[in-house]
Amino acid sequence: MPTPPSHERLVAQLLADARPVRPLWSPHTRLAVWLVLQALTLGFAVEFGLRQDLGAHLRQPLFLLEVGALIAAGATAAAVALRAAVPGTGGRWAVTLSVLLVAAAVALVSLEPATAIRSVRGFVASGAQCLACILAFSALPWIALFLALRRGAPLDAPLAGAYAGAAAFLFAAAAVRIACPIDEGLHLLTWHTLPIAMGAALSGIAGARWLGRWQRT
Amino acid sequence: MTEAQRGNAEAYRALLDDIGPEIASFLRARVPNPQDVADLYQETFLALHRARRTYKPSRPVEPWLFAIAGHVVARHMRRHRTRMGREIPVDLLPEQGMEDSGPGRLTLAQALDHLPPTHREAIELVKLEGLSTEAAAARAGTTPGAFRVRAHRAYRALRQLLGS
Repeated sequence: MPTPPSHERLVAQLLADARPVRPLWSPHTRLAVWLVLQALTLGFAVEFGLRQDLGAHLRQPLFLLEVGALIAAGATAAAVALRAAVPGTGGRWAVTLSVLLVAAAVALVSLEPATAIRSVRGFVASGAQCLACILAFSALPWIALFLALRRGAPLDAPLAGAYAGAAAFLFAAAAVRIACPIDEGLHLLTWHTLPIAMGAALSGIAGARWLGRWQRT
Repeated sequence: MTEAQRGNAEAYRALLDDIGPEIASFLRARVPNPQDVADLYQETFLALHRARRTYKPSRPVEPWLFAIAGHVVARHMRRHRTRMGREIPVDLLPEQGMEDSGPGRLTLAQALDHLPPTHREAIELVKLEGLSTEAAAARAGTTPGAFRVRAHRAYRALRQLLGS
């Protein structure tokens, strides 16, 4: 099958820019580095969290499952995002697994008892604190993951961005779940879980804007 | 590809020459329009050049390569569908454009003839030849500021002539 007439000119153009490039680390290595950063975040939450009864809570299966599901979902979402930045790397199983884990985390959070809101002001004030903490905990890991994706070549830039956002916010939600002393269902769903969806959506928009640049001609 | 990542131009050329027919064949099997195939061929090569750092030496090159080519085709199809959704096909094209003849053009030509030569020149330089104010001023032998005033007066006179 012959090549188009532009082949020679095109090859000459590419060869003129054929400077050496450093191959990316494998997605597994980059994921491991990112998880170390996240382990520090979780450690910070355990050390400086407001929860006085953390020891007792760590013996409650529901609490452990919630935090475990959030962490597992975050790690899987980060793995999906990093794999998405390398063309030809499959991994539909990871996508399915991360969606299932997020669903499990939300389902587990919704199992927490919901009590009537005594004051809207208090509900919003405590929620705003948690939201601010989630934003603070997620900022650095999100930037790190986003920059890692930018070094790659994500084919579906919005999706890669959304997974990066979901990963960072899931870990932040896990950290805040450890640190926050409120175990009320509505608080957890509104102020711990909803920001994950918002973070993923905003990160998807950022991904569409900045992660697809490599493929623009 | 590993050598290409290290900056070995000869190895890179050999690789590009080697994959060229495969890429062309891949694109032709999916895109019917030859002009589109030529464009997508170029897009695919540019994309794989920009993504070359993501190739992992321990893996075969084909999945990586055809993932990029497949994505370029999918993106083209999406663009094509969007464009086709917006365009309204017409059965018959007009025989003659408005640019060449017609009452509007005739009136404009007559109005231009009625303008003083300096005003006509100003409009012709900016609107017909598409020169910038600076270039048109240089051509008319005046300063940009004076040319702007001249052009403004010319537009006003032309508007009056066309409106009357």
